Amino acid sequence: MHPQLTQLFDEAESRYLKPDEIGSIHQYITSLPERLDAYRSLRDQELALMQRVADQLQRDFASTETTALERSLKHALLLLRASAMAMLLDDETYLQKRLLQWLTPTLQVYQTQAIDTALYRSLNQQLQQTLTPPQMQRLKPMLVLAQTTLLHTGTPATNGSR
Amino acid sequence: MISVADLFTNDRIPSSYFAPDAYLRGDLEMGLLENRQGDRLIALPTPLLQAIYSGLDKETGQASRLVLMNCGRWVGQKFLPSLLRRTD
Repeated sequence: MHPQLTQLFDEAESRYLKPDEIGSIHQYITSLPERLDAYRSLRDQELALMQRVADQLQRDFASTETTALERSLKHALLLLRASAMAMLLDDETYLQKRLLQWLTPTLQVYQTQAIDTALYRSLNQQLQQTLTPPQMQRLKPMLVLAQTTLLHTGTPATNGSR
Repeated sequence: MISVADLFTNDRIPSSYFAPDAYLRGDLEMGLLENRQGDRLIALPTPLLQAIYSGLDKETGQASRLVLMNCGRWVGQKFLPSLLRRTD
């Protein structure tokens, strides 16, 4: 659940929730069926989808060694799974803490921007074709956050953590 | 030909063991901080670390660099075996 909402639970002994806070919780609960639907779709399609992305990647980077491509694909799978969970929870900080904080400096070490840029383009295309528009709508914010953070290393997501 | 199915180990892709929200556990209200294995952790505030450095500097002058290096080596030697145990 959105971290601001879970913070409210700590206040239980101080006060009852205000109407707009109850509204936020209600909004999240009513959005859950859609989120679950998108999440399930992603779960079911993951392998087939990523295989198509992998095939395309191999065609575009025929001269690049397989280990480098496999590494980028593994990272993209983590990105996809973390984005799906963050979407389900409606929690960007989940994405930051669970994935972006450590993957961003890792990618800086490996210098895989060219491969990753092509991979994300291919991945987003595949997602667009595989998911329904409302499902894509749910997933997109997390996906965009993750991809832009990872490709443009040095953005706020790293939090000056060095 | 890359097979995506083969990239997984038991349907899993290893992430970072030390990802903050997975690694740090605890109950702030109880003042309890643990790592994911249940070992206790402490949080040191920055002013304390700064005070240690400046105090060391005042006490030992030039030798503070040697002191810090030896401390660092000692910490590393203690930490490495448990790190290897955890991440195997």
